Amino acid sequence: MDTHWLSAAEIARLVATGKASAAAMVEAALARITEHDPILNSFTAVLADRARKRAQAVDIAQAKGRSIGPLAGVPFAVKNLFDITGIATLAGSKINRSCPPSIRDAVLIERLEAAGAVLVGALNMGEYAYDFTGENVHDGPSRNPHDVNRMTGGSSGGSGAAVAGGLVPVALGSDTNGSIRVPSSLCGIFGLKPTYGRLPRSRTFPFVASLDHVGPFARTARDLALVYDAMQGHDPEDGACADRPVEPTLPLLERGVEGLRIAVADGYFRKGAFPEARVAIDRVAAALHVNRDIEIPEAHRARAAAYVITATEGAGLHLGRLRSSASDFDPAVRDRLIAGAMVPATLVNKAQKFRRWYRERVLDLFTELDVILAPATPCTAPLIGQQTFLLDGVDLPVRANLGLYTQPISFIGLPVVAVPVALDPLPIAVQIITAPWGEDVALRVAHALETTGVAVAPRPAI
Amino acid sequence: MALARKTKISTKAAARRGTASKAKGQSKTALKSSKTKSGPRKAGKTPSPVSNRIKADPLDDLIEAAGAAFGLSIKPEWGSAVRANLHVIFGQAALFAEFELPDDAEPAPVFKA
Repeated sequence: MDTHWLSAAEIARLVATGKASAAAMVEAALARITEHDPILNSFTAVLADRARKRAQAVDIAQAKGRSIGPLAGVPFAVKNLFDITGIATLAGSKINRSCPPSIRDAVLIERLEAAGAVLVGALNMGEYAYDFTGENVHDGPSRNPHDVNRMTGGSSGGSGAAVAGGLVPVALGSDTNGSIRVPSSLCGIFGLKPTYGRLPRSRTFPFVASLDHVGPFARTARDLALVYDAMQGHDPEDGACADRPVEPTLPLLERGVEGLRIAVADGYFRKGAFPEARVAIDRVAAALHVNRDIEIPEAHRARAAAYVITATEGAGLHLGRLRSSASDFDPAVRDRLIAGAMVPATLVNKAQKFRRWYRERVLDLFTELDVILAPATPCTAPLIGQQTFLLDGVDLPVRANLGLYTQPISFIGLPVVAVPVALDPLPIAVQIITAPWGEDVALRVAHALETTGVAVAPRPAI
Repeated sequence: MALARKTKISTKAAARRGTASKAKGQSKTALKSSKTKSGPRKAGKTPSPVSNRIKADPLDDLIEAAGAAFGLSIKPEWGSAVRANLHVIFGQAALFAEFELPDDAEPAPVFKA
């Protein structure tokens, strides 16, 4: 059986019905990792022993007729900023390699394993998540399965490569300014950045507390919903986690898009877009019969405020390490963090005030809209090592600007599903943006686009 | 680089409007102090990230002073990248710092007692 392009839902169904064992599914994933990860460089730790034990436990439970959960036997991996019992949480850094091993898994790993999934490893990422490229000076770049000379996008670059390359059907990542949506776009897979506070970040290495989100990657919208539903629920260990009831999205997935009020973000979100980004958004808009454009007010200032909050909160987090171990940082990260340490608090306070103002203006839009469409990235995957690209006639750094269209959205914590459009030769994604707590709507739209063939995670040639 | 160029312009423009004035205000001080500090470096003193050349940027003194205040040892070869990043940050900050909000506008907190 060719298992490596099976969805999580298909694997769980095979295991639940006894047509395949969890052990076989995990062995297939481990074999695929062994075969392809030397090139893709998506894993920083492969937990074969742990995974085999866990799979065996699932198979024993299944044989005894016990409940094995909706994700039984589904292999998954996590960005290496999630705590994993027994290993240090690297967060893409050299410095954290000297940290003691974690004594407990991140809460989202616990929840996925409670649903029957099997953790197989930790994934490469940009250092301390301050990255949009997927490059890492310590571990090497994660490589795009559609062209291994190209970026995966970051900072959850390993997550993008592992799912797009068929090594695992599901991965977890984090998204402060776009770190789920950018790799989803460049690698051509589905990604969900939930509402700020929806999924607990407990026992993950932080970056910018005001903006940090965690969420899943998958190759289908259904898998996103399946995994997201298994991870929902309040956790008091994360102070920003909302105390809301679980709101399952999977039962709503087939409701379609009939009656949804949808518009395309104009202005800022068109400016600078490469032709491929425009083609993708036009294709999605046409499939949804959308002929309305809308301006998200002051999006450029929102992006700027997110930029400053990120630099300063990130600097605050790392100030001690900048004092003691500055030479051990990735220089590109270190120099941005040092600069962030020197920004006056007055500007940060103004950025947070602007955030509140902007949030209210954008929420006003959702009184007459259900969904806003916007590009996820301005272009398809740049070459690894590429420093600049031409945006709206201006040569700008790739590293800081791949998240141009994601930052104004995560700035106010709106839920987004990134849906891949399989352009030739490289895919690119479109953001399906909804009002807070509207993950079900975004997933419905993503599923509808997938059903019509407009959104699809293309299978790479590897 | 174009972004840096753009940033400088917007920082200066913001300074004219009274925003990011701290950075601009420090420029004159920086230039003055660079003249007084341009003599030979004292033996045993930590090299400044910017003292091995003529200070020509308003942010150089901020980097030197803040680096010392925060206990950061900024190597000379890092200085230009730190300065470039500060220019970008202040350029971005000018975009929202100039945006008028009412006095009773509150930040967007998440902490709940």
